[in-house]
Amino acid sequence: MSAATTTDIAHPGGGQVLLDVMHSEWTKLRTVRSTYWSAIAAVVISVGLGALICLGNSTGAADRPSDPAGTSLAGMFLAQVAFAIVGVLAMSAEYSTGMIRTTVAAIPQRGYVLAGKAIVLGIAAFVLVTATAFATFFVGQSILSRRHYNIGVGAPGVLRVILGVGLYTTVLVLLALALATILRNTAGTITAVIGIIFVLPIIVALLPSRWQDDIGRYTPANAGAAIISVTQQDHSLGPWAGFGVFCIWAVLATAIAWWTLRHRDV
Amino acid sequence: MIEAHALTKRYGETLAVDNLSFTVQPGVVTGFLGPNGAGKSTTMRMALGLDHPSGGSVTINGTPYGEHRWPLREVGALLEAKAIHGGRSAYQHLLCVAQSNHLPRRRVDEVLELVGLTSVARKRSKGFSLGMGQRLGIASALLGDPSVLLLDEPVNGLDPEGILWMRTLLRHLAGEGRTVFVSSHLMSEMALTADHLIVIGRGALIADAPTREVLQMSTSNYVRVRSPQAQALAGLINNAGGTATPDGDSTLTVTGLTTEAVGELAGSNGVILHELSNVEASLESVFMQLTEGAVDYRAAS
Repeated sequence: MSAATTTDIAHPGGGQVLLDVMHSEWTKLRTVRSTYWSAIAAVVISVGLGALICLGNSTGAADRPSDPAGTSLAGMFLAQVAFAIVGVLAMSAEYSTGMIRTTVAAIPQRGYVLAGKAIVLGIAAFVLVTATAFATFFVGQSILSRRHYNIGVGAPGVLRVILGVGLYTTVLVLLALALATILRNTAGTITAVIGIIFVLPIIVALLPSRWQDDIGRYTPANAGAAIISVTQQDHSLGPWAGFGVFCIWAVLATAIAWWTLRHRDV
Repeated sequence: MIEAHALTKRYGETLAVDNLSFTVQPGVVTGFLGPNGAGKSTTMRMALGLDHPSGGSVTINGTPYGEHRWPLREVGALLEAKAIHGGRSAYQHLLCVAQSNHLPRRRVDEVLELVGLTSVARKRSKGFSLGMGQRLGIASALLGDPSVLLLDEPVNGLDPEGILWMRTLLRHLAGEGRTVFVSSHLMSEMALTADHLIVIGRGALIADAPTREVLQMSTSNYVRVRSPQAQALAGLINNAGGTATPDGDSTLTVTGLTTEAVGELAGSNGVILHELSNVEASLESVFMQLTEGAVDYRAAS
């Protein structure tokens, strides 16, 4: 009865528990096909759609795009959904498969489960999304360069936008993880994420302009969009202020997720 | 050791577990019996910290489950068959569980070998039969070499060979001094496996005693007799001081007379018998008696 326990300390500290959870969550993330399918879809959509849009902007009678960096990164607008789905499934699949009971039985301090997932997903998402953003940018610019419509990575705001895509999408993935923890359902959470990213901005755009300053620019997608535009839009926060507000939304959702995970039966 | 003190779980108006207190001792197999919906799974989930009790408490080796760190080293659990992501292979599933409690990778190979899943370890568990799923669940429970095991309906879905394997394994684990707590709604299975029984109905304790004593709680040892002249025989039996209850056209259930008495009665009156047997109460029937009135949804017949 001692094979497994001889070499290890009996009472690990919280840091050790968190490291173990991260180790476990990394294994979970890389051993389900949905992770790869979603990531491949996201990269293909981002690079492919970006290339197509750049091609359209550099053929025929197309004029120089007003925002060549934004033009080349336009595919990320759709690709973010595929990245967010990885965040959703990391938690919602635990509920749909019943795995959550195994997980929570193994780590009864449930806060560590959420923290471990968030850290592993956050790191993985930031690395993958930022790499994708750079690839998308350079592929797009090389296409635009046929008409000399291209812009360098050193141009004002461009590097910030590329890194901003990585940061924004990472926080979106974490927001998706938090929503999945609260809703415990894949389809419902994906609907909620799409609602927040795509539907809410449309509703905001229909608001009277005074309301847009008061409310609209603080909504998650509008605030988050600030860091991924080269130029500041009307009724928009500054890049870092916007990103900060977006982070606050994610922190708020994570706090609710943490509370529900701790207090609900699984 | 598992100790429940006045454990209670309420879902809205429904009382799923009602002021339940018991102790599960190490070194023996303890059966946890009750009809479906009696609160067995809920009790086990509370013991594992998955559900929060509405009242009372339950501890494992003196500590509430939620306060154990690396709990798999102390407690192994088999939950309902589906607590596994079917997209992962058996090996990958066990690996991520092992890593969460800082258990070495070689334990994964060891438990796979132990439950006989080594040859399918790299296959996605989605394609597993119910029996293979149960074996994977057992492997997961044994990963941390725990001193306490909680197994919810472990023989569910197993073929006869698998049931025998499970029975042998449970007795072996208890023989090593571990606490083995096994829920089941199959009384006959528990009669063969468990040394001690905790019986519940509608969430409340009905019996907590060694299996042999629970069997003796029954009053219903009876004589079963089958005859083409059942009606005539029933009259004779009732006149002789027994009680004959018809069970179908040609079968009688007799209490108050021995098989010898019924046989002699039939012989001396020229009644033809097709069957005459003494029926000892099965754990099943004891259980039915014990839990009578404690079943939520009885089929109307």
